[in-house]
Amino acid sequence: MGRDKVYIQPLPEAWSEPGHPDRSAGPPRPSRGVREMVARLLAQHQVDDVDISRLPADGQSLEWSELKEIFNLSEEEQATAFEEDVAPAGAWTLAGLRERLNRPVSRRTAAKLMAMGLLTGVGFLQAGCTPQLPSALGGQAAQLRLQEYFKRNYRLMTEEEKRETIQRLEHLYELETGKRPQISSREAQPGVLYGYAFNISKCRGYLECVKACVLENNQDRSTDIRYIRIHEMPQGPFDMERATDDFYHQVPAAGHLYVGTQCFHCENPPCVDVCPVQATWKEPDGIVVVDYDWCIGCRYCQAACPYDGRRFNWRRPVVPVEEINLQQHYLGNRLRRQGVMEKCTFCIQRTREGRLPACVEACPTGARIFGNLLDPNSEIRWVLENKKVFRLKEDLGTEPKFWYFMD
Amino acid sequence: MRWVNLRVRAAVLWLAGLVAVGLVAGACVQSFGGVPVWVEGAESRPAEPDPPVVAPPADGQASASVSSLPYLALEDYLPLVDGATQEPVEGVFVRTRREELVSYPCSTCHTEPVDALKQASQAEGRLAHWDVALDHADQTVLTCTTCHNVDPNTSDVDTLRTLTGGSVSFDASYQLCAQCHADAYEEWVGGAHGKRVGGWAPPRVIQSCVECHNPHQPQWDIRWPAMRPQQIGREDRTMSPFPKTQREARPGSR
Amino acid sequence: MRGLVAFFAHALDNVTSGSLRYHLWMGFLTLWMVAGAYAYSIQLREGLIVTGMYDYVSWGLYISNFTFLVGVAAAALMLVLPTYVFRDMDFLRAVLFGEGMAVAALVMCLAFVVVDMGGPARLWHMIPGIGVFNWPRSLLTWDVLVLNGYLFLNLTIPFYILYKHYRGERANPRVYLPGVLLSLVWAVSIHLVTAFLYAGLPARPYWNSSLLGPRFLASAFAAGPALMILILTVIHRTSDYKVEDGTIHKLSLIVTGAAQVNLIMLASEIFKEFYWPTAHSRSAIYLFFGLEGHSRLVPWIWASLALTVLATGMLTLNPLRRRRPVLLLSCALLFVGIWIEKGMGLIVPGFVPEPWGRIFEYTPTWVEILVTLGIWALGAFVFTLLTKVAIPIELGRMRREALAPAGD
Repeated sequence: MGRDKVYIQPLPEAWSEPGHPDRSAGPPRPSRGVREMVARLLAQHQVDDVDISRLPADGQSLEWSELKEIFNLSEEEQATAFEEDVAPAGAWTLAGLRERLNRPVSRRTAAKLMAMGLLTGVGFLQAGCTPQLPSALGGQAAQLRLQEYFKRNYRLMTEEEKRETIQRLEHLYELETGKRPQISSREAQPGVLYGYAFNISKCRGYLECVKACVLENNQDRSTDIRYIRIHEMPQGPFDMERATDDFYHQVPAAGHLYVGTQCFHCENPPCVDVCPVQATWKEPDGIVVVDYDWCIGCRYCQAACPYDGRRFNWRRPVVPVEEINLQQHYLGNRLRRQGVMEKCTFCIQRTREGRLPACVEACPTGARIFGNLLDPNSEIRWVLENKKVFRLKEDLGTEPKFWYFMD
Repeated sequence: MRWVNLRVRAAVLWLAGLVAVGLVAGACVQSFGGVPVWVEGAESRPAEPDPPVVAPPADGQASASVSSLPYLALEDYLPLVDGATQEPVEGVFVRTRREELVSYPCSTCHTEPVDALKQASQAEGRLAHWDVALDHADQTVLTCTTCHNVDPNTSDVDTLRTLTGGSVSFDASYQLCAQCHADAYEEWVGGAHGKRVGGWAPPRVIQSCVECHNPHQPQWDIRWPAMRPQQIGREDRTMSPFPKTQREARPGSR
Repeated sequence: MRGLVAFFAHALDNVTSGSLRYHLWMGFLTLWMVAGAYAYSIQLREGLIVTGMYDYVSWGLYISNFTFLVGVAAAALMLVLPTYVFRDMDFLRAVLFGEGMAVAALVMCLAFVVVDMGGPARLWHMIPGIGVFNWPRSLLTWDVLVLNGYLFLNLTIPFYILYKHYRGERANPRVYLPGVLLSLVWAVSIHLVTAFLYAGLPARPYWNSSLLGPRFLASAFAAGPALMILILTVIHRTSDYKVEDGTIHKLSLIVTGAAQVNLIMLASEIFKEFYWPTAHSRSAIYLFFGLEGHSRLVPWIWASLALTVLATGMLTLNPLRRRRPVLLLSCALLFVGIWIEKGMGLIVPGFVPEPWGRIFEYTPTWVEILVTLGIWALGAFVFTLLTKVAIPIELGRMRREALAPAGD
């Protein structure tokens, strides 16, 4: 490994300097932090033949041979560093190895080798961090992220804290994407309990709902997170196991019916109970939400959900900047990060404002019915009272607020 | 003790340990400071504006009830009137249709009975309503004149015609549909059929039948889905730790 | 306080010196740990997408190993119970290693849970006070409590005893016996709670069985002591610490009994799933016979079944069990068999088919495998360090008086 390039960079002073300009633009700086450590180490062991000032400047790399030269390694020292094989013949026997390991080394050499090890190690460390350092840890964004890291569970926040975090998030997203979203924290209205009905004889598998959902909710495009699945089921017994959701042909296919599933916003949601940190809960209007910044990513809720309703950000989400929906809600479609759970929120950013979820609005066939279960004049109530409705896996006692019916 | 006696071992340990710590710490820093959004051309970022000092007012939070009215500001709608009773159905409105019709009012052209108009246009080599092909039920059951008033001498051509010869505004065409599709009409009024305009909250404004169903050809399209099936997770990722993001175009896609 | 510092300094001195074989072994483990750290750094950077897991099979190799190792940790009970409660002196020389194995297994368990997290940096959200601890609703919080509590017990009890011996004093049973008794209950609870973690999910019918907990215990009490027999044999051969045949013999009886009970429970599970297969039996069908052309786990489970049955058979026959090579072989086979069965055979089929009946198979990626190997190396590393200190103390070589003030 010694022949690999060694990167030497200073410990980032930018951490403590808010508003620090982009580092890559500035002039090279001497390597301060590590350099001092090396100097101290060498001085401690009376090593005086190393010119530390020859260590290259910020961001530059150097070859092992150059490092060796700077450290003025003598023959004997090089041998100790396994540079050359000076062990007796047949060195790679156990005895030879033992000799190697137990060879006494002078303090000076050891100090030099440790210093070189230190430099290499720190170099690796910083090379690992560098790609993100200038933008991610420099300046305002870093400060905002740090404050965001230490914030509390959304439900425990005071109104003041909520306002602050929303301001920070809006600013942070603006720094990252160049667009400033509007993040709402609008709460549930009294007298509202959302319900959903799906007409399996109307759905024709056009997937317009899926497309609208992806766009509305800023879902990751790279892993293709989709809250909605449309299952194509051959006619016959109604059995979800006979259905597939990977069809791509002209629809509707003859002799098939289409069943949409998503989060059912159960009245007894098993996913909420199992969450170890209460990062997910049921809102008073029945929407099961996730606090994305509180989720630790254990995926217990995903195992507990009998309806395949939850989606995990298996990698850093990718949303094209020009497609970002800027009308956001803290518990809804704001941009997520890697390693957190997300799910359908009945488009909380829309429904809390009185609008319809994106899937309902997009459905060209009117197969999707949404409304307030507590309003006796709502469409959902009419469907529940006048149509023959059923729910999936009712035996589990989860009480989904998502019904199916037929014409 | 032995720590005083520095050995090569110590140097090697240093190195290995630091490499390990560096790798994990580097990745930690990256994942902590992760940018959640893909930025095309990240270098062209706007200058960082100062964070706003004043908190934005939490408007709208004071109003306790939700209404669809803000989303209906640009819509025209009338109360739904039941065709049989001619009574408005309480709390249900239907989006109007007349202003969207292309050749309306009909009486602009239909000044004479249809047969006379037909002869005149054939003589001049003009085609009228050439884009209308009637494919709604059977020709023996339903023709143009089943629903349209065509004779200005005996009826108002700017309205639709019921089976019993009554006239119905183009804005209330659902009354016509309801003559045959009584079940669908009932579900439409109730809420199990059709689509809403605006939001879920009252007032309830619904789309008229003809906004989804072409009355001349009420059948639905057979078409391609709006999205391809989800790929990730179905592919075998055993060998490569990184998923394929570029997908092959499938044959047969539009 | 000063005595403690001296003890740790002495211990540090002890673990950094040793034979070449010792250094090679530790170097070998370090190599795997570094490799694991490298793989984990990739996973941290790229996200869990680099594993074979996805929304369909959302737990994989990590949680499988976690589940298995909780069992290994709980198996310390089988050494502690006879030693401290039944006063069986044959076990006295093994019990410290049993507790050391529990510590190593728990360290691995915690490591496996941490690497499985999507946001390990936000784990502080779980700490009561500054975070939110969803206790008692979430079984995961129960698991956190019992695992850490058990780790604490297994660290403090042996430490107290060893420290007393180090100072040349007798350990006072009045001090450690309450802890020992508590740890007995605790050992059962860690594995039961871990089983309840899965059994409490109605969404996964394969796990939603009342037999899951007892079966966890039975297989753990077979696999843990089996590993103990192997470890004791290695210690016996590589150090001056001699383990008597009686200890091994009694341990092998425990392994045999537990393995037999485990097989009985397995048989009843197989009967229930296959005599009248319902929609809920599809996971088991997938596991044992494959479903709709998907059969990636079939060779594994049959191999596991064969290993377990063969090993249990060999252990059951007295003349075979009495022969040391056969005993060691059966212990190794049993350990591997139960590892496969608890690992790939329990967690993964719970997710296949997924809730809507679609089948997505799971295979770990090299990142996952490397991280897993790294954590196993970490466990072995921790265990070696613990034994490296415990053995000289128990042999009377490491004593406070022996620590020369001048050093060496």
